[in-house]
Amino acid sequence: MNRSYEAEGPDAIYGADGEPQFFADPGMDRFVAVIFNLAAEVWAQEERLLTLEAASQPAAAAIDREALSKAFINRVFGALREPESRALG
Amino acid sequence: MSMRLNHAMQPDLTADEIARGRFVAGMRGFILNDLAADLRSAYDRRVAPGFARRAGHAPANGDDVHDAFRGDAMFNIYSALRVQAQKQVWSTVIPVVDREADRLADEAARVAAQPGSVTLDPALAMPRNVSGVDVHLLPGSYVRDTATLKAGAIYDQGLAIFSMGLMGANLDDIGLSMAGYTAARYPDFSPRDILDLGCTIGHNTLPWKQAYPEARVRAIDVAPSGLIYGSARAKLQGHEVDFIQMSADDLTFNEASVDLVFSSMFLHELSSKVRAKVLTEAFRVLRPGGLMLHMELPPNSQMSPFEGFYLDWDSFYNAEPFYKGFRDQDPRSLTTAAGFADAEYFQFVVPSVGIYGAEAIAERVRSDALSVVDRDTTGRLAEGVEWFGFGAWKR
Repeated sequence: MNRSYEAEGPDAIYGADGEPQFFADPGMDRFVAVIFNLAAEVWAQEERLLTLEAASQPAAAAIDREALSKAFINRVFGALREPESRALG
Repeated sequence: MSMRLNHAMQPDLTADEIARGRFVAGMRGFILNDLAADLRSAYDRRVAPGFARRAGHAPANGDDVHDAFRGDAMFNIYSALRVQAQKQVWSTVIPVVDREADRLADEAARVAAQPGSVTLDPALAMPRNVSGVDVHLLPGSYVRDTATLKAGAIYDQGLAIFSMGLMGANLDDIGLSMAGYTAARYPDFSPRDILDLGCTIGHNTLPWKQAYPEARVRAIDVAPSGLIYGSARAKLQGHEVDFIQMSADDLTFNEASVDLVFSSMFLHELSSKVRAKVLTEAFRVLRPGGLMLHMELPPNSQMSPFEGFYLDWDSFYNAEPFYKGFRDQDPRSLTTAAGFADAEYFQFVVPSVGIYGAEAIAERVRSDALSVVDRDTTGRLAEGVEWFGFGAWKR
């Protein structure tokens, strides 16, 4: 597979470990996995807090967790978006 | 974003499991909607122009697009996150199924005597495209834990998260949309015998029983776990379907014994050689006046280079090795090579009935001009999805 003409990337689409590789630095693909997993753990903790709050505050029980999840993902991963998309908010 | 299943084998999820499933589904929505839009933007703004500057021409096909994208930051981000999201679908679901396996088996046993059947063939040799590929990065794929219904349960629960609610609570939007289109477009067609090829757990089989309740519906697959699970799943929902372990390229049905042969997201799992045999077998078992219909990804020849590569991404990075090979083929040629007359070939794009409603399907039936294939909604599992179908009548 040829490299992109103007961007630097690995020559092979799979590394020696059999995993797909996207970034020039092979550590970055593994780091993406760490970030993804960490965000999942943080969200799981967030839902535990929501559950605790809902137990003592009836109004909190009606919170839309789908909407909160989407907002959480946007806050954490929004920086990955293209600059033009970030500028739109 | 429904992730709860529509039957009694819905797992009893802990609060943590619900949270993790919600997160993964949310991430898939972010990746396949927001980051996918950014991918397109990056392509238009810099990736395609960069390729053109060096190559002297715009990307002419999916391979050019892929080559142009490799190393681009947006492509790297989109792709790396998408791979992780796929893996986390399974890491979220597998522990649940492992824990709930006995309860699921009890639920299945409760309805064992209901109408419908499952027939296994222990002597069937598992084809390598099934045993040798961790499709969608699922360890062991469709044949893990073979003697149990676990692989079927993993598929059901995994698809609920993977599809982000876009396939409906019963994961049957494809079947419902295709059956709805068929019934609307061909109101005089009344199949008595319906066959679903590569049915997995029968999620897109059941809509055909709903559309044609008097028909005998049979569903085949080579992987036994999905059949065992699918049979219980169908019975729990009150549908009589016969699930049979069989390979679609070697049907044991008599010639001219079936009125409708259907498949959904199946043909792209096969090598070109096996796929040709499957279609030939479909022609053989169809009665004159019968219909072959496949829901699939649209062909690359009818898509722009970007849209073509966007759908081919799975072929490179999601353990779908035959995706691109299938999509590089011409569906009309596939059907005529199998014996169908060229004049009997048809194709269409049907809007998701769950998203657009039955009236949208009726409108599509009224106007073939609306079946534009080259759109960013055709076959793309994201907001506004529409399904591509092709087939032929046996006259």
